[in-house]
Amino acid sequence: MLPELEIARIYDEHASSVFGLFLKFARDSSDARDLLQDWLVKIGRSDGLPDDLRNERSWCLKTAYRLAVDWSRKKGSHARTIEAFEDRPRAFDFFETENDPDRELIRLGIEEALSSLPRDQQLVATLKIWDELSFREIGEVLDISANTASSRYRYAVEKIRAELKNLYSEICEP
Amino acid sequence: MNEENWKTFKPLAPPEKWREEIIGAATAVRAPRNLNLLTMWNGLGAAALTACWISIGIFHLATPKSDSAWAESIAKRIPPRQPASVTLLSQRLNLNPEYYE
Repeated sequence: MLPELEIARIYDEHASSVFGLFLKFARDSSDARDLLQDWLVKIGRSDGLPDDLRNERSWCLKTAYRLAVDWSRKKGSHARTIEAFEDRPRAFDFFETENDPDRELIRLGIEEALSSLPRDQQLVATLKIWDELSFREIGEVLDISANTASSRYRYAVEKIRAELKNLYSEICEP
Repeated sequence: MNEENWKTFKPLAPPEKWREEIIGAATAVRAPRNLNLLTMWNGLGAAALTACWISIGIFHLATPKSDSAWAESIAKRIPPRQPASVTLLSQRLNLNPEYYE
């Protein structure tokens, strides 16, 4: 069992990334909150982080991903949950709101583009761009090969660029 | 705009007010486990003590209160001795029973 200070440190350093991952699975922010709490409780009950840990963030995301997948399975079959998730509008944002109107427009565009991707691609894109994991680490988190992670990332970026293309031209035009 | 620019948008963090609650929950869960262990040891101790008292009680009830009562209880348990028949004795001593009868 980890001491309280260590639990607090893990929360402060990784809660944002883990929360971002849970938001990809959750139907609302209270689901994501419950998952975040379950995740930290699990970490707290463990004997500590593995000794041969190369990247703590990657390990935290891996444990969070497994928890989220289990949670999805408990909530119903994987497909049904995804269906329910995709049918209803999202009740939360992926990114913090921006004060600058142009940046806010782009933020909304990126959110829209990310939301339109299949969850596998959303996860790979988020882990690569915002969590700055390598493809090998992404593969470890999601239990896929580095090549699969790389190709999913390529598809995701292409789609986001295509979605944002019109928005950029609107903003960049004088 | 490319991935480097997208990176400048900050992913949504969990609300600050959740921090204490979630950390509190993660640390509080460990307390009952210790408490349970303590309760378990207390329970085992109490069970052993009770068993000990019950054994003493049974022994006390089963033991006669005085020497005479004890002697009586022992006497009841020993079957009265029957006089040995001449036939049986003769067989044991390898003698001719007809001679003695």
